[in-house]
Amino acid sequence: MTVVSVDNCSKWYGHVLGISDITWQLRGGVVGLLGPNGAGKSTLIKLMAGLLRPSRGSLAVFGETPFHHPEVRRRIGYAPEHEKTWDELTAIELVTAMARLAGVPRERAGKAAEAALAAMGMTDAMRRRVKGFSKGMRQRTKLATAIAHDPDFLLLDEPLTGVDPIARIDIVRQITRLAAAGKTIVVSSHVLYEIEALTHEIVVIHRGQVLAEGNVYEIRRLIDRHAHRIRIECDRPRVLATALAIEPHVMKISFERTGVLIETREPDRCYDQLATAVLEHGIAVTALGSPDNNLGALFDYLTGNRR
Amino acid sequence: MIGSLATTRLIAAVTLRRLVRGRALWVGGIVAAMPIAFAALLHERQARATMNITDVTAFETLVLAVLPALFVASSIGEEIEDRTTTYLWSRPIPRWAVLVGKLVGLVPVVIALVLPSWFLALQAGARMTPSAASFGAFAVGAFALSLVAATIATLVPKHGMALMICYMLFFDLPVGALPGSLQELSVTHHVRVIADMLDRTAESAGLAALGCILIGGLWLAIGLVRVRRLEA
Amino acid sequence: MTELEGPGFSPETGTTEAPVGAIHDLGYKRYLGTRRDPRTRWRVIAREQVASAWKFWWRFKAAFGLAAIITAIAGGMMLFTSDRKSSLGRAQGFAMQLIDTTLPESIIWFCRAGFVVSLTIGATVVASDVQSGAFTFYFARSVKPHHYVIGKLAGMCALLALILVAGPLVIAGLRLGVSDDVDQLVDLLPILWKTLVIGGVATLAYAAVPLGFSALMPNRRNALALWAAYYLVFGAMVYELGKVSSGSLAALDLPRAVQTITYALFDLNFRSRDAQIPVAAAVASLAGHVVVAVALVSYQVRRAQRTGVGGAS
Repeated sequence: MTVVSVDNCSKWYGHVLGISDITWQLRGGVVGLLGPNGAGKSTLIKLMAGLLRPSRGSLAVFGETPFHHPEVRRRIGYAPEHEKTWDELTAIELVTAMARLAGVPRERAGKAAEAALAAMGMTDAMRRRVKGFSKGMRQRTKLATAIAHDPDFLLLDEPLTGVDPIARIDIVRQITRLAAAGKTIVVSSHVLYEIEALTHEIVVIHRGQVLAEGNVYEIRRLIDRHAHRIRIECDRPRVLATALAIEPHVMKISFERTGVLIETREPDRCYDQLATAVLEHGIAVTALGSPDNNLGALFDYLTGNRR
Repeated sequence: MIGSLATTRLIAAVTLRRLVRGRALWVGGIVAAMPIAFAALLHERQARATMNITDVTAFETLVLAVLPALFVASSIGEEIEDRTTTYLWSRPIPRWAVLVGKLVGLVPVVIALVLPSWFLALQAGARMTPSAASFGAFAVGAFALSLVAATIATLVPKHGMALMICYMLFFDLPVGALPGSLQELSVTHHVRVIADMLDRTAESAGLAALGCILIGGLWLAIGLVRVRRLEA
Repeated sequence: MTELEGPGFSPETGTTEAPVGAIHDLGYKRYLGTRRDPRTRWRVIAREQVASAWKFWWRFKAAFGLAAIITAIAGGMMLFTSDRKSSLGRAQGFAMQLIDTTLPESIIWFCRAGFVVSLTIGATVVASDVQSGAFTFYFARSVKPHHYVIGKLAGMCALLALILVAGPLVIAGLRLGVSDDVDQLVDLLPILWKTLVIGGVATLAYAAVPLGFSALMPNRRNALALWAAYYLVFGAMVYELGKVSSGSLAALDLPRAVQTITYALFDLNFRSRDAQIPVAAAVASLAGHVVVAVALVSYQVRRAQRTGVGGAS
């Protein structure tokens, strides 16, 4: 079943373009929404949450327009990017109210709120007022409001901002658990390695348009106009460089302090030849890796910022 | 899905809880107490035994200029300005329920401050018990002006409170003092009619009450249309 | 990092010559140029205050538009009713030309426009900074509390002067412009300095007092409500009390105090049903308001600096 269907959707804020002519479908699982500041990630998330209307085109969640159909919002859990909440309430009061507004019956809302706060590690602080919370605690309370009513579709806008490392691990674990339970989750973040920890399915947005979508490795493979870089630290970098320099797929070789950086169009072939050269010449390799095998590099390539 | 009535009640309850835990109620209390203090002082200093009921009414209408702005306009304006409405409007509730829920929670507070203020001010200043009509007048006036305040806050959230006070100062109060039919556009004029401050008949009091409700209703309609289209 | 075949490599000699040129580090560098004199930091704050007020329609431009309308109406009245008598003071036997009373009568309307600015900006300045944690930014730099106080006050004065000084000055200029002859023009020249004095006094009062209220409460909306109640309700109260008791009490009503000084400067001294506010009381009231307000702001700002206020809520 298609969870989200976006069809030639654009959104303007006056003269400012939020998203431009996006066509995209989400069928399930966890999807990471990537993009620089102002790319349109929050706009897309708010459109899906029913907070904005498309200026042009259409956007449907579970087959309905969320802005005009309140009933579909019952199945959506949204954690916004901003920190403002109802500070005068305690965490349990806030999450209970949100759960009730989402349709959880009164007699169950309290328990559901407690469970959501416990899942976010907020059991000890749930009876304290939100006003006195740190940034991380607010973030976790926000996430609890999004999951308390057991939605089918979660929209998390920068969920890990301001959260301490241990809590971050907890939250990532929770999101993974929710995904395993069959929920569809869209997570937007600038913390690229955490998106990687959550999912390999990404949507890259840049200047309001979808630049790339799908599996991160597949996308990387498709970027054949950009050379793949391989860094090898070894005892005899020049010998290794000489062995590989004659290969036609090797575009560039650079020497670093303790190793060599190779740029190649055919990484798989290069790895094979690398292994052969190392064995032939008895080179001691101390480190082998690729600066491009991560989301950050992919992101840079796609948005035109070469590192 | 939660029903509209339950949504309204829940939002009203949350709004009241937040209000009670904040300081706005204290500020409102101070504002409502001002006419009482004034009436007592004026009564003490004046040569004649009682003061003019019209003087006390004039101050009470100034209180009406501030309280709906303080409670209703600022609460709704802050909710929109701080974007906490994203929590509400991403829930499966009708958008109008947020506005109505806020009004259900806050209008009784405004009335609960205005009526005792009026009663005690008249007692202190004129040693009189206000008529039932005057209580009704201020209650209807507070209700109507709260609707105006709510709509102004949806139109200009950041400066809703300031603009509501300006609306009272530059429109409602002066227009209410004008001769002719333009007065009908003023809520405070209708309040004075209902409270028997002006020459009136039972019919004119009824019409004045209707006038208040119509003015408030028109503003509320604008507010509901605005909220329906507002994007978070 | 070098490349196999980089620039400067000479195949004949087999050596690489030293590269010619320079590589410029385009990354962050600490600013080493001249710095502003610390004593002028307040100007930065004042300029920022004015710039941010001018940005949005409802913050300042609406009140400015109102002042422009008041100026136009007053100017029009002067131009088209120059031979009419004013009702001001008629019961007491004063016979004044409307053209001469328009300017002093218009001051109370400019005060109302000034009140609008105080609602949209003045009464929320300090409270907004407290709520948003702006003091953290101020005091993480070499900004002293008095820079902040003077800067904010100067910024507000600059904004209010556009209403309370510029508007009346335009009307004064118009009055001079419609003089019958040069002799009358010369006789009327003092209205310029009188207008400046009134405008200056009103500017200071309408800038400082709302700032004081904004420092009184840490919450923007409560500060605004208190200021509005003080100005409208309390002001009306003390004025009415002043009618039946001491006129000095009525001087606590800010617009009436300004009006009293205006009437005194323009020699419109007559008794009426209004409260008779002594000029000295009016001046003392305005001065007292300003002093208390500035003291409140200074106290709040120093307290914020000491306690490290800055947590955004």
